Amino acid sequence: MPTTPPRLKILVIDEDDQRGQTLAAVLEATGYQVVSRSGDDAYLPSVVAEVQPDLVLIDVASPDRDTLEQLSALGQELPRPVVMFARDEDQDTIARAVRAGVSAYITEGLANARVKPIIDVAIAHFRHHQSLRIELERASAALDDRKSIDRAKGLLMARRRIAEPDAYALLRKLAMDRKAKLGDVAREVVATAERLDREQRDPA
Amino acid sequence: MTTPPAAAIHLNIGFVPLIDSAPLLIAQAQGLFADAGLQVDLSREPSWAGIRDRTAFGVLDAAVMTAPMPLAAALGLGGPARPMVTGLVLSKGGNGITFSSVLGEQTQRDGLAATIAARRGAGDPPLTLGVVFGVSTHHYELRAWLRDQGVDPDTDVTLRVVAPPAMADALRAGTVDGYCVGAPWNHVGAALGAGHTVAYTAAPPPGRPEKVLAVNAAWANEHPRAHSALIKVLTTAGRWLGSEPNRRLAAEILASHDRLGVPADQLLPDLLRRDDAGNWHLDFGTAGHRPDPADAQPLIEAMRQAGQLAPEADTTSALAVWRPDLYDAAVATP
Repeated sequence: MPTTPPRLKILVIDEDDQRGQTLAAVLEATGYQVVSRSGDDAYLPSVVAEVQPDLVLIDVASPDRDTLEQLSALGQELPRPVVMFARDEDQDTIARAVRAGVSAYITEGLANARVKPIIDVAIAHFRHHQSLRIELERASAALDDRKSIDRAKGLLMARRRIAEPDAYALLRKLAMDRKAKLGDVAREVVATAERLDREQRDPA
Repeated sequence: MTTPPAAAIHLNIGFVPLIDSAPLLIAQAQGLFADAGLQVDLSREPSWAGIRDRTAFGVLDAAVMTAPMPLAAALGLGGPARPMVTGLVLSKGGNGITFSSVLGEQTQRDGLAATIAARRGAGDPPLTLGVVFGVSTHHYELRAWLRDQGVDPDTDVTLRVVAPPAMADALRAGTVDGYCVGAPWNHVGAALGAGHTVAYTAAPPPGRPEKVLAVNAAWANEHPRAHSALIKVLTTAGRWLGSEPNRRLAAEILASHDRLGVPADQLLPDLLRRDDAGNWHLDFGTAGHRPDPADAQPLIEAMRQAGQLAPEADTTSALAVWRPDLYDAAVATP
């Protein structure tokens, strides 16, 4: 009877709580044992000593990484339970991971084939999260655009005594003449009007 | 008829919030990159490991790094062996050692070795001292300083990694009893009332390189002229930082929240500090910009002494990272 290898234990550390929790849930559902920590004040080497993970997944830019790397770099605290995912044959995977914003540390001697699927899941998850964030930013920028356009229209209507469709047409013409985005032109109109108001209030 | 200017080369450069990053931040603020046909986006990075990996794998094209980092990267210490290129030493000196008020008083009275012996006798836990990264000048300087005091850095104290901007808070919270860090974080620690700076590292010319410009090797191969221009601009910015009036201006520029985010009056003491001979404590090129491999050798030796590198390890790949030829060519360009 073939023996199944013991379930790998993964430590997920992410300051972005939502991203970390979902990744942990996905990995757990796939059959891994997962411990997840947000970027709290816990001293990471102690967490690693306590959890004894086979693999650590952490944001590539997290300051906690410097603390984590002291396990191998200072060589003092513990018998180096974690090493960076660093073998030559892994370069492609690690390059993709770094670009997606994930870094991984694994215990020495863990087979590549067992690690790679986990990294792949993390990469996909980070990318998905990133695209959601970009979408959200775009949506809020669009909302901001609409607000600015409304304000600019109002200002033009009041100052030039024109109707709304004419104010809108004027904004569009300004944008086309300058090859600029409508939202940017609207923001500029609002900023200029505010500056004029200020200067009228307290002339230099 | 004028020829249209060549399209600007775009590059992403990473920095950690330290005064050492000044040449990069000043060059950007003064438009020196744009003048040289470089369109630079700066990225403030919260961790050294992050800055190393993002540069090694091309997310960043270049970054300000502690001098030993690109050497260690070539040797595969703490990360995958990825070559980077160093054609410029950005700064020398600037580090200091700060102790908590309690420890500072004790050591001033009894000396550090006796203080540690007394703690051991009383059954107190060993002192914990903070360094910014395993592979860093700070770590090696602290080890050397401890040895000078008759203290064994491996057995007499516990060393702990803390990010530079978090040092002063760690001292105040008592997580560490002292630390070795770059400017302005010693002064900030003292200003917070968390402790006193007990030693500043000396930077006698030629001095030990502190921060270097580390460039992604593939980017450097692909853009030799832009790389050359980058080196030249940063030497210009470093020279600009050689005068006191300019350093006063620099404090204002560096203070802004997207750069260091530390008030100018807390940056000035470190920017204006000179040693007894009148040399800048933190030097941006007066003491030399050229990455001389002879200056890399002591850093590799320090890695060995810290147990990061096997005594017999071949270090040829590390020494090849430092490229004085690139520096020479860049400064010779009119």
